[in-house]
Order: sequence, then structure tokens, then C-alpha cells
Amino acid sequence: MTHVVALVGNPNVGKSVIFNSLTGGKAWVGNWPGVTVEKKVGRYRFLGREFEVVDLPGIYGLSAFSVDERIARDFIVEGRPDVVLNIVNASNLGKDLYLTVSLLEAGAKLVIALNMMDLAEDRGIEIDVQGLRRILGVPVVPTIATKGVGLEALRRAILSVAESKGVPKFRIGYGRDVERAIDEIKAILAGTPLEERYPLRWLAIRLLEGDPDYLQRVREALGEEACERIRGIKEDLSRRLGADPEDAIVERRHAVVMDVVSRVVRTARRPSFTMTEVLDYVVTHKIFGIPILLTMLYFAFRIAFDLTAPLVDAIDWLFSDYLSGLAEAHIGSEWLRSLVSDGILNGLGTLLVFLPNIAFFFLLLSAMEDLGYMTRVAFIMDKIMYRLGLSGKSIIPIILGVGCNVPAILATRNIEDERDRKVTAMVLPLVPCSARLPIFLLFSAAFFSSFRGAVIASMYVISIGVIALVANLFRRTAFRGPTTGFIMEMPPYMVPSIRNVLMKTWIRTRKFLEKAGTVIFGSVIVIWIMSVTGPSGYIGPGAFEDPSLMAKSWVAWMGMKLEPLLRPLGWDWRLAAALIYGFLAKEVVVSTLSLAFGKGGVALMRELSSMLLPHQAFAFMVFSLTYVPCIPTIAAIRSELGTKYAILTVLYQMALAYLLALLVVALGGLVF
Amino acid sequence: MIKGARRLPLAFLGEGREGVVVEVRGGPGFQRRLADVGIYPGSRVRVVRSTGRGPVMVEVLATKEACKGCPFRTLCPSASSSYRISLGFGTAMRVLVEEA
Repeated sequence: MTHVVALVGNPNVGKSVIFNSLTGGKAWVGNWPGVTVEKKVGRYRFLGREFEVVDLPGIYGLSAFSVDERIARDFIVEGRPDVVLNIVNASNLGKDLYLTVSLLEAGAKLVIALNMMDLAEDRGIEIDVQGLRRILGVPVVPTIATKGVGLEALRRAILSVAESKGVPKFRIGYGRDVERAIDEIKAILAGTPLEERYPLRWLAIRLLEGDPDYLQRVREALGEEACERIRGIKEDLSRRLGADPEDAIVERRHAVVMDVVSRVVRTARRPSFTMTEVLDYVVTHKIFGIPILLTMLYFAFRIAFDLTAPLVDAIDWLFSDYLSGLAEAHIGSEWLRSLVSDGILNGLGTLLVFLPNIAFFFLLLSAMEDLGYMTRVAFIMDKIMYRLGLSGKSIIPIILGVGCNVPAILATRNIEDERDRKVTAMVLPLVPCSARLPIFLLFSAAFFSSFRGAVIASMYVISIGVIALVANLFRRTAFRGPTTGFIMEMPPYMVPSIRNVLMKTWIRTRKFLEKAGTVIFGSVIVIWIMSVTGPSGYIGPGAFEDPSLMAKSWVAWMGMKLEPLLRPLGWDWRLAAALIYGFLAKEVVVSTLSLAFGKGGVALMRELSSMLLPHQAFAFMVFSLTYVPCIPTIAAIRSELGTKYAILTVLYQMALAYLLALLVVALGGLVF
Repeated sequence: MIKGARRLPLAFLGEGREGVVVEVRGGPGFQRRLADVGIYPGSRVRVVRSTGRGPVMVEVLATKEACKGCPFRTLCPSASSSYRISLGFGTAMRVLVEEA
């Protein structure tokens, strides 16, 4: 028999660290039914018993305002886990106990992990653990999860609660008037099927708080008449209180929390300035805030790109030299050899060379996140992002997107507001990822040698402009409406736990590999087939070496079909073919160009510059910046938002890229 | 209530100023969401950082209500029961406070 343990707590209380310590980090990751909120389940054994740990999203209360809260509430109330492990931040009891009290009211079989005891101690906060246990009537275990302190005691407490029958008896008295209303509602609900599903007192309170979900459930179970009577009771109460019952109940609950806090917490001394106050003063400063962010990002990128350079070279060598060499030497059949080396190895190689950069970037990002800095970044960027038609929380995916769009789209999950989330995910492919950089480098070197730095920088500026344009357009049309507002907790700064940062980095990197790996594998094969075959039939792998053979392939055929469309831009089929390959992954555009022209490096640059005018080249750069996302990115959008939005993204980007390129050529035509 | 106290949106309460929330304008869902993070009529807040037409970072302080039963209400510890949250400009405009 397996005991189900639900892990619940406010965001930033060390929930994931405790999850990892309990389960040894092994988790099955899936989605909650019907939504894209991640569901993480792990297991552990203790004293011969099996435990299944379900990690619930970080929440502040049980009001079910966001999808996260609804999932957590439904799992706790309807899933009836054997134990609810509530993790609270010991240095911040005043806020965290609100959730605890809400859970107790919902009849959850609670174990409280009083986490971050070290931080509380540093701040001179003393907590009477015994007193808290007595008042709440449930086990309270002090822990320091990052150092593994208290975990044994926690497992023990979980076991004893899992095997006990009783439910906690803690209850809040709401005063005579509210209590009478609660009793009246309970009388309506008693003896109905609802009594078996929910704790009656809790349900009555939820109804008085006007929770629309539960009103609906009552309507379904007991009909409109019961709802009318409940509404009547609520109105009656409202008149008697001279206030909204909802406000009175929430206020009372907060008051009880504060009362508990004042009874168990003793603050020995209050330092004149805490670390958090000082750091917040500096990093959110009106003048210094953004320069500090830019400096941090600059170093993050430098580290991610410079330090990993040898690794990148090693992976490049492994795929394009060593493994292809092996394939060349040991595979007899010509077409199979080409499939393996030109197709699979080449495709995987171009993807995997970015792996060290991405992993390193994730590492730095996870560290900054655990430090507490990322929420400050969202804070200082909110105003600017709002002008762009996005929210402060969009900045984190966008920063990630400069490395690679795929993990960036996965990172939009942290944006609570559905419209903000969708718009952010749909404009993310406009962020120039590192794979597009080689295209910019090649064309700027070939055409704008003396001021190529400025030309490359202009791509980033154009990107910001286009994002603002598209996001605002979406916001005003398909995604119109108020946002749920930006409400974000600013956790105290903390030294990150190395273990947790590594774990997060690994999970994110693995997800990137899974997403990109599976899609790219399939598409590599498709592109390979389209290159070695053509309208005339099989051409053979010679197409990868010989431009005249390549001209006979399906890829070339498609390029030629597109040529009339591209002629106003001054591009021929070879550029079109390179863009078609770019659909697979943007990093192969340059290699396809050298393939199609039969030359690389400086010779390729010379050839290009004799063929195109500077503004036509610039148009190609702008087109590369904005046209269709690569296949892994489309797959990521599809899995996050659904097929409809993936198609919409592809279509709007095609149209946008074409129009922008036409605009550049038209403007350039006036000059040249 | 202090005589002549100013009532204004949280977004306009200056940095370093303290105020008592008197009203949260919005639907029940919005009010509840804010109540969950401690912003509801009667709660006390101090503005840490205000950015004009941008977000506001506030410190939510122990409420007066909570200290009613406490014999040391004037010495009420704030470190243990204060925490920081930030609200977007739109949200901060819908929270009305009375400057303390």
C-alpha cells in the first residue's frame, strides 16, 4: 500500500529542494490533466512503507484564482492525499501560515516543515516549535532543506500522520454572526451527496466567501433552489455585518494567523538593515538597476559562450570529423552512409554544438533564480515590457531566447496570465537566438565590412521593435482584455544550494534535448531524402558535394518554385534553398549556402557580394531574423499552446518576414 | 482614523511611506488573490520601491487587527511578519490606501 503525500507551499520556500531530498531527485514529470502545468511525482521508501510524493504548484491560498491554485486545491480537497506536507518559510511565518491555516480548514492531514530555520536564525527570529505544534494540532518539523537537516524527522512525521486516522481539529471561530450563517448553510448541505465529498464547515465557508467553483458544484448537486437559499443567507449576513462576508472572513483568517505568529515568534533583535533591504535598494534602483542587469547578462553570456568554446569545438569535432569519419569508413552502402553522416550526424551535430552554451546558460540562470534575483529582474523590467505589450515576467523567457528559443518557450510557464503567456510564447521566435548569429556574421562581413558591428547590433534593435509591434498588435486584437495583474512575491535573497541549482539545470537541459532531439531526428531524415532525390528520381549523396547535382534535388526544386516570389528581393533559388533548410534549424543556413554555391568562407562572401546589393543582403538578414521558427521551436509552441497557435505563429512570421524584407528592399532601392 | 488622512492609490504612495489599505477595487477573484498575499482592507503596507507608471514593491507589515490582542502592540515585531511583494501599476492603482 502506497501513501500519497502532497507537497504544498508558497513559491520560494524550498519546496523543490525538499522534493528532491525526499525522493532522491527521481521524478516522473507529466502535465496535470487538461492544462500545461507540470506535474511532478516521485517515490521513496521509509521503514518498509512506500510513499508517492506529488509536487503541487506553489500557491498562496486555496482561493483558486489561478490554474495553479485550482489544481492544488482540487488535489487536496478531492484527491484526499494521505498526508499534505506543507512547507513554510520559518523566516516569514506571517505570510506562509495563511496557506497553512487554509489547509487546516480544508481538513487536510497536515505535516508542517518549518524550513529555512537557518535564515530565521540569521534574522534573529526565534520560533516556539512546541507552541506552534500545540496551537495547530499537527506535527511541526524544523528543517534546513538545503543542508539536509530535519529530513529524517520529516519522514517519520509523514509516516505517523499517514497511518493515523484522525483529522486535525484546528478551527477558526468567525464570530457569532458568521458562525450562525455557517450553521445555516451546513443545515442545507447536510445529508446530501456533497457531505461525503467535502468537509461541510469548509464548504460552507467557501460558499460564504463567494467561491464560484463551489457555488457551481452546489448548483449541480442540489439545484438552483439551494443556491438561492445560500445566497439569501449570505445577503442576510452581509446586512448584519455591515460589510462583505468575504472581507470579514479573510480578515479574520489573517488576524488568526497574526495572532498565532505573535504567540510563537520572538524577534530577538532586528538588524538595522537586512541583506534583502540593501540588495533590493541597489538592484531595483532607478538609475543603477538596469545597468546592473545588463552587466550581469553580459557576463552570463560571456561565460556561457567563452568558457564553453573548447567543449563546443570538441562536440563539433566528434560529430563532423570523428563519427562521420567512422561512418564513412565502416558503412558499405553509399546511401546509408550518406544518411548517417550527411543526415543524422550532421543534423544532431549542428544541434548539439549549442548544448554546452545552453547548459551553462541554464546553470547561471538557475543560480540567479535561486538567489532571488530573477524576480527583481521582472520587477525592474515590468514597465519596459508593458510598453512592448508584454509583462515583466516575460523578460526571463526573452533572455533565455537569446540563447535558444526552445527552452525559452518552455519557460513561459511561469507567466500566470494566460494572455500574457500566449503572446510571449508567440513573439519569442522573433528573439534572435544564437543559431541566427552565424547568418548575421556572414552577411555583415561580406557586405558591410567597415561597420558590420553596427549592422549586427541593428538586428537586435530590429528584433525589439518587431516584438513590440507584434505583441501590441496581438494585445489589441486576438488577445485583448485586462490582465490578471502583476502580483509577485519578492523572496529574501539567499545563497543558492549547489545541489538544487545543478538539479534544475539538468532538468531544463534534458527537456531541451528531448524536445529538440526527437523532432530534429525526424526532420533531418526528411531533409536528407529531399536532398538526395529530385523530380528526376534518386540523385544520390553526391548532391551534398556537387552544386550542379544539388540543383536537381527537391530542395532546389522548391527553391526554384519560390524564386518568382523572391525575385523582387533579388534572391535566387540557392538563397531560397538555404532558407528552407533553416526551417530545420537556423544554424544550417550558412552551411547550405556554402553547399549550394560550392564554396565557403571568403570565396562564398565574394560570390555573394557580387550577386546581391547591400540592401538585398540586409533584407536577407532581416528575413532570417523574423521568418518561420525552426522545427524544434514550433514543436515547443505546439506542446505549450496547442496546434492552432503553432500554425498561427508560423503564418504570421512568414507574412511578417516577407513584408519586412520587401520594405527593406524598397527603401534600399531609393538609395542604391 | 487620523483626521485629514489622505486616501490615494498605492501606486502614488511615495517610497518609504506607510499606509493602511482601505479598499481593493475589483472583482471577488482579484480581491481574494490580493488578500492571499496580505493586501486587504485593514492591512498595513510600506512602499519600498515605486517606479512611476511601473510596478510598486511593498513591504506588507503586521496588521493592526493582529496586534489587538497583543499587550506589546507598540513593540509589535515587524521583522517576522513582514515580507515583500510587488504589484504591477494597474494592480497598485486599484488598491486604495490611507497614508499613515
